[in-house]
Amino acid sequence: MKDILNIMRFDFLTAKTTALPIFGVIAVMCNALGLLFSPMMFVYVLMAASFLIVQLQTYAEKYGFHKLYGILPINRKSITRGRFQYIFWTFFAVEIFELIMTKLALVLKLYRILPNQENETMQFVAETFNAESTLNYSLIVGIFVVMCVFFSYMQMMGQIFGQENEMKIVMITLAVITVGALAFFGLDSYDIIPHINVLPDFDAMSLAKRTLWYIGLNAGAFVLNVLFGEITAGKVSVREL
Amino acid sequence: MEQMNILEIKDLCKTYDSFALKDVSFTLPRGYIMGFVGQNGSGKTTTIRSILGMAKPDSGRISVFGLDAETDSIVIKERLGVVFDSLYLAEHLNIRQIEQQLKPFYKNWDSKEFFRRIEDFDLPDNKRIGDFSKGMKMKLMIAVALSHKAELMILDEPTSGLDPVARDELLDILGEYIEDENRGVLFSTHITADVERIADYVTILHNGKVWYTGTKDDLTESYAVLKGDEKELPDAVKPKLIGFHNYRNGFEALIRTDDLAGLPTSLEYEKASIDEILVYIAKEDKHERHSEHHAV
Repeated sequence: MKDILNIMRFDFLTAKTTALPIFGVIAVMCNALGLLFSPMMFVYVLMAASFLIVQLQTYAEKYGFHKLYGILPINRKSITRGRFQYIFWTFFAVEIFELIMTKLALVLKLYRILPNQENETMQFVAETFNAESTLNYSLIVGIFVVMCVFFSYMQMMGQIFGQENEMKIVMITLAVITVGALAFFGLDSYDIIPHINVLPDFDAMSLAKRTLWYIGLNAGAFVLNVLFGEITAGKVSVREL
Repeated sequence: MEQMNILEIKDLCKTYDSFALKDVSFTLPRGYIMGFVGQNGSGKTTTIRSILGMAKPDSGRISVFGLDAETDSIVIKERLGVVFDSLYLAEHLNIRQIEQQLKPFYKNWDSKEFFRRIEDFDLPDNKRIGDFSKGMKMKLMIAVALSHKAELMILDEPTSGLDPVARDELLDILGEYIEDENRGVLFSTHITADVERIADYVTILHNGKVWYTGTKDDLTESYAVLKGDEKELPDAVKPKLIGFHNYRNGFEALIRTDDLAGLPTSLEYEKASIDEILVYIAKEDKHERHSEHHAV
């Protein structure tokens, strides 16, 4: 466990100097806009957190970190596991922060300090601050799950098949998802398969049930992250450096 | 009780598509520096990668500090300092940030010692390490090794690409490091002048095999460069010559000093340098290949 934490720390320090300022600027902007105009803006902060992962990947490739990992007194599998945990906890930390920001935005309703409250645009803005709706929270949890699983998957494919094939992997993955989704919705619309609600109606749920759902989605993302990490560690740790 | 030999390699074999290490065996006693020399592609880096667990040997045994390099690799790496010809660190960071990154990995890490070395080596701690010269990068890696109290330093081509002043400084640092008799240094190079200057032991690798391993003094005393007219050369001596080459003014070849007895006085000989030994081994190799080619 200590080794994994050390690698996560190592990875964060690598990415921090260049990626954190970019992420910080985007986060401050999106959080400010989110507080004033729409809590939906908070999901962009989650997307911007990917800088902290992409930048690390770039440096790891550029400076040949795999050789460094051969020198450090650490188990090879821990290195891979550390990288996957870094991905999960980076997104998770941002997710929690943005959920708190959402709560704050819905409580403060800062849009009320803006001028022209009566016009149509402001009416639309006010609707996004509807405390009854769970959409803002669900969006953040949903985007977190997508980002976390996507980046973990990409990390696995990149480490197993080589980062140079990253674009190919992205294209193939998107194509498979698109074809799968089109097939699913096509079959559904012609009633060939029974209708399935992909996501439940969160608005209709009690707070406790909804919280359980969110925890479940987070746990699912974590399990997939660990699974991809273990598959990668198994493949990569036997390779020569 | 401390092991007498800090590094032992026995019958190490490793085969790649176009290259193979064959039964590489040598030992480095504590308190000494070993120069690990050979042409490019002779297997030096593969041997070092095998010691570090970065390459998986097909057979053989590697023991560091008396521990098995495969099963005890983490314990070994705690006590090992490694300097490659490149840094493999995040070069956009400065020394302070690098120290922050590396120290959690080593139980014996001493930050005070690290920054004392950085000051001794005149390295700026607020500049991107990517902007360092190659000599500065080597010094940084040595500072890292010294800060976790490495007992064995393994350096892979550390002096290649360094200017003479930086090379001299690096060799001085290694000389100072080995003053502690519990330590050892294995450094691979094809710059034999460095080996002549600081090594106590030499291992010469040639085509994946150990051609010589032992003390430097034994090596240089065991071989001589023989020169003269080929007609003067007794037939019985010819097969003992290494890298025989006939020039317009006579022949030149490497010979074991034991085989010099009884040679005509018209033939001249002088002590061979390590550089010359390497050159004649390579010539012998070419000669053999040439002969094989003609035999076919």
